[in-house]
Amino acid sequence: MVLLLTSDNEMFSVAEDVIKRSAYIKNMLEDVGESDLPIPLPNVESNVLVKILEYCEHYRGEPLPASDVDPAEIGDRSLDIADWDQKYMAVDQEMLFEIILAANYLDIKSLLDVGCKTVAKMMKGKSSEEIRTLFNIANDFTPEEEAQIRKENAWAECR
Amino acid sequence: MNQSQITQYFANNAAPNPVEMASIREEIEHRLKAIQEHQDAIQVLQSELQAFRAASSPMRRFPPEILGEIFEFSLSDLPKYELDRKLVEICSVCKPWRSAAFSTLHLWRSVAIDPWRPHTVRFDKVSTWLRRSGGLSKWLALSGPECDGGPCPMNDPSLATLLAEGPLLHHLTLLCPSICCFRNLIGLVEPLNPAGSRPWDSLQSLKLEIKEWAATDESLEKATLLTLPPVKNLSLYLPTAQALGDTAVMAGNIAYPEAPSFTSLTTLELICDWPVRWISQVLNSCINVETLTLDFALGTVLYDALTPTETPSLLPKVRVLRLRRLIAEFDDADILQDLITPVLEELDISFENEARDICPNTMDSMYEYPSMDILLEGIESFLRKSKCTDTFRRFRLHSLYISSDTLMYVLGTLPPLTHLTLDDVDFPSKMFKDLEDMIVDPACPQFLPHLEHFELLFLPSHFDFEKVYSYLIARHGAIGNKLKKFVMTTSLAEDPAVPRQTDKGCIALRERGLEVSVGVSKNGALTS
Repeated sequence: MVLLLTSDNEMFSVAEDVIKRSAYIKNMLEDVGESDLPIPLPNVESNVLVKILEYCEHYRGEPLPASDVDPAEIGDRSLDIADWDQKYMAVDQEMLFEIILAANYLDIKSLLDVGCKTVAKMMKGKSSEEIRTLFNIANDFTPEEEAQIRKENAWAECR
Repeated sequence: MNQSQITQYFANNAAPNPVEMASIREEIEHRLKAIQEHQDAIQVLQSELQAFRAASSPMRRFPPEILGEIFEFSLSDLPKYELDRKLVEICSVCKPWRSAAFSTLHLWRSVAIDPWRPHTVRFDKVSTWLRRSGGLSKWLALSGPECDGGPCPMNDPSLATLLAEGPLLHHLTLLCPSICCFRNLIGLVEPLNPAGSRPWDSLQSLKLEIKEWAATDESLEKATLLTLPPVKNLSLYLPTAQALGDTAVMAGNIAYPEAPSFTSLTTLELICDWPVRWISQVLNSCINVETLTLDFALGTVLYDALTPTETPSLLPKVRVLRLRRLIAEFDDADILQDLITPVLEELDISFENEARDICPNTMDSMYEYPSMDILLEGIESFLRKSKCTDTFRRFRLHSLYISSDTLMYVLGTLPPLTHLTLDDVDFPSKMFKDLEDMIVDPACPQFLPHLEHFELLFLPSHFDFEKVYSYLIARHGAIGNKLKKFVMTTSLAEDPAVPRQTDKGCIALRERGLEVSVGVSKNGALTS
């Protein structure tokens, strides 16, 4: 078992083959070897880690992705998301973003992909203004700057 | 008037007098004003709450790499010519997003300009756009409009400037309305930057489609077909033979332009229905081609009876040969008799046939076309003549109705195969029963003894999957079996005609160590 200590000081005891889906933890275990000391996760809160462990548990036993694959070589850029993953990602926006950040921190590529795909799907067919509203993003452009962005890509606007 | 004089009316149903009524109305006004003030305050608090929530949103902590991933996914399923519009929307969201998009070089490596907005394309800005992808290989696609006398981007000097002085391009797609447009473009590019490193000259890959062969002063016979950059990969889509002349084409009497020389190519896709004699001339120069695709574009392969091909084309380096859109009824696969490929590893033959209704109880003979034996003997003869048995390992057959006897016959002539794909091939499942019977017959040699990967894709709904499982289980028990991977899909998601991971046969194969994937094919991908 591996002990994990979250940023809000909650301790989790997790089976090694479950948490090894995280390349970060896997590498740490390989580097440090067996230890009774908990692995601190200062960037992950307990409620988020619970969700992450749910994902790792579901995919327990599935082969881990090859670590030596160049990200630029990864061909699957489709927006398809498996049924279970879709249900797993049916959370509020804040939790979705926290899962993405945690997946990035813990280096769980497949989960990061699912999270990014989920956000990408939410953006589908939306204008910049609609995206701002959807994700509560402040418009920090002046009207002149916004006009400049469209102008510098004007070739794309003509019809 | 004091409050208690009015509140007494709350507990009874008496009517207030006019003086009391005025006071009550005053009180109502007070309350309404107070409610409005509170509502305004709530609104302020809600927008402050939203602002605080936005300020604390975990999305603000996303590093540019994560935003870049999201952007890439959001562009992934869009048509290429819509990518730029979506990317401009992304860049217009906020400064961090714009910055993240600019630091994600992949997003800027391709530009596709569709034919519906061609007239005011600013190629200088296209150049700026592509340069944002830094050192990554770049991709440009341009479709010209129909030749209607209006301005054509192929005649735009700024396109020529982009191709002569812009960022180096890896791939260029040009869909030209006519050969004249293409020649005009070449004429504009050639004088520019002759001593410099021109994107045009350093192209690795070119896809060129010429829709029409517009009339010119020169005769077709003397016309130089194309002046192309020394690319490695070429996809060439020529006008139909019909577009070159009139019905004389069918008689083989028309003069065709001189065949271009393609000595530098390693990959060639030739999409045309021109006579085999002309295609053979092109292939004779393809001494370095390793992957060759001949797509007959639904035209009948034209054999010029008056001037047949003299000797088959020797393609000394072709490892992968793909024949596309052949029509079985017309013996199109006879083109194989004009090719010799001594190091062939993979043969991929795809037919284009009209769908036929075949019911589950169709007799085996109903699957047979009269020409099928000739066709499949052609495959055997081609492989024998090419002497490629030492290298030939992969075979794919696509879109064909065929009897089990003929299919068994042709596959039986390919013993070195390690990979076999039957994709959208409609044949009776009884073949697997026959194969299973052969396993127990010591007089029969093992069928495809080196087979490692076996794919049965887009099977018809009436196919008996159990016969396949049963054969593979029996084969697994036979000595020397090498099969490692098996994929089986149907094109329909209707119960009960769908192979499932939970099928007994599927489980039994897995238990025997085979990697098995079964399910429904959806656009070529497997969905379980």
